[in-house]
Amino acid sequence: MKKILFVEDDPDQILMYQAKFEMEGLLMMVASNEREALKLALAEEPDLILLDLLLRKENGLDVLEGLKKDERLVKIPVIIFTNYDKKELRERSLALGAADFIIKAKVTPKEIVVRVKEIIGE
Amino acid sequence: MEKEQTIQTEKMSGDSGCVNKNCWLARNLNYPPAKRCQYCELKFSDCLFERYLLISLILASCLLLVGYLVEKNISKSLIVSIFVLIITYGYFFNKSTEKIIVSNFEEKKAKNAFKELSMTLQQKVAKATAELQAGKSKVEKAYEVEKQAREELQKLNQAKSEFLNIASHQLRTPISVIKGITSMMIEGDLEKISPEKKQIFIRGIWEKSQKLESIINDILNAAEMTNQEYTAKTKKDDHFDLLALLKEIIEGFQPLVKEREIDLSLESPDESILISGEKEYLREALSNLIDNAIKYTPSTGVNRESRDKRSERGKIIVTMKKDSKNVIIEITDNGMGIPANEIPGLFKKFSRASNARNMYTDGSGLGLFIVKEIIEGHGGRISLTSEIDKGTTFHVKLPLRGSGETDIKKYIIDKQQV
Repeated sequence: MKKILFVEDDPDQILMYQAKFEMEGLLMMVASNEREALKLALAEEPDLILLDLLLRKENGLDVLEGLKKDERLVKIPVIIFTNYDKKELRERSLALGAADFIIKAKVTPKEIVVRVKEIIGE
Repeated sequence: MEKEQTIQTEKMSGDSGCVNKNCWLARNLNYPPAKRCQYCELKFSDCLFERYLLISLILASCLLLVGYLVEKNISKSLIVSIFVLIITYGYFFNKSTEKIIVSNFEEKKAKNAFKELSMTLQQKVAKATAELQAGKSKVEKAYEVEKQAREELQKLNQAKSEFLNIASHQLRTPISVIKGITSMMIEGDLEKISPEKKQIFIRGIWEKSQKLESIINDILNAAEMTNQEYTAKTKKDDHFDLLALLKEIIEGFQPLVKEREIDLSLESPDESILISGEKEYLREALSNLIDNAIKYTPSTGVNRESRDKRSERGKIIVTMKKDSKNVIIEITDNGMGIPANEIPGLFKKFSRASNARNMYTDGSGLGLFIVKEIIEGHGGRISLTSEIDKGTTFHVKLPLRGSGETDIKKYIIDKQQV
């Protein structure tokens, strides 16, 4: 079963996406901060990382930079998943190597599952 | 020719030079070897002196000749000739001197006039330069003012843009959950999960809808309070019992604190505490403060995740007391506390303490900003004290009705009196 690492700190969103991903045959692991995210990524080697951009204390782009600088993690595709719709953030994310930049409020759980499956080749 | 000579400018060459004055007249009377003055280029034949002498000599010579021819006596003729020569030369010399004096006078007059004109011109130039400088300073000042206004406008636009960006993010957060869960309902996904989980999902829609309404209210209030400083509107004898309002608010929070197993209590005098103000705004401010305390206080309840994951039981104590002029409300929790260096910025828009930002936050980030505006708009003050992992106390001071100040706006002007 393909593994997805969801970096998010909103319990309602975690509940919703976890239920949907599992219904679609994808295993979802959750990390609510940068440290946890890097730890899980190294330990579990997920097939894709779904990353919320603003985690208040840490900026989501710091996490993305950390992932892309680590040789062991650089190949894991990352989708930036946020409600912060700013052109500069989108451009910077894609420049740092993100596979996609998706606004949460603009997609349903099904649509995000479809996009994730497209990227991981499922 | 005479005019040329009388209005001649001086040409100084370093030696005695030509000071025109009819040229040969001013210099020694030796006839120059060249026939033209090297300075004024006056010809010997043009020189008055020489001219007059020549005329006189010719006249005298003629007289001498005539005298000799008539009288046949040369000495008599010579005397007469010399006499005539002297008279003639004297006459012409006098005339030329007069002309020289006049021309010198006129030259001096012209020079003085020129000097005066020159000074007047200099004064006018100086005045015009000063006026130009003053004008330039005014223009520079106006440019500075315009530049500052432009920078201020740029900052305001930037702040507005940032406000809109963050506000749109805050609004989208509950929307994405409402949209997500309802789409799952439409796709029949909720039939595939347990009834308990389904209930949590449906409740999630309800809670997010309420949160959305709350965020919209906060944003609208904050926008209004940003545009113009909020001042409570009251009629002259308008007042209400603040203690009764606080009791209502605490009663309203009882189901939530019960669920989270947090103790929420009120300590107050038994008598009514009357204040002037807008009741519903004060309800919002005090509710916000108590809601914050609940969010950031340890919760041992099983149904809802707390932001403070310690094991001790959460406690929130609300106290109300009064002195001769003011009512003082304190809301004390035993929550996670706020870092000291972040307290000054806490009442700004979209500000959150860093330790709060580590956890899930579902608010607008505008709560404390709005609370401060409401309290100060009622002529009050708000402050807080906090210690990490020990808790936080918010201190609110509001003027009593009839405390000697009848005009709330007066408090806004001088908040130090409160």
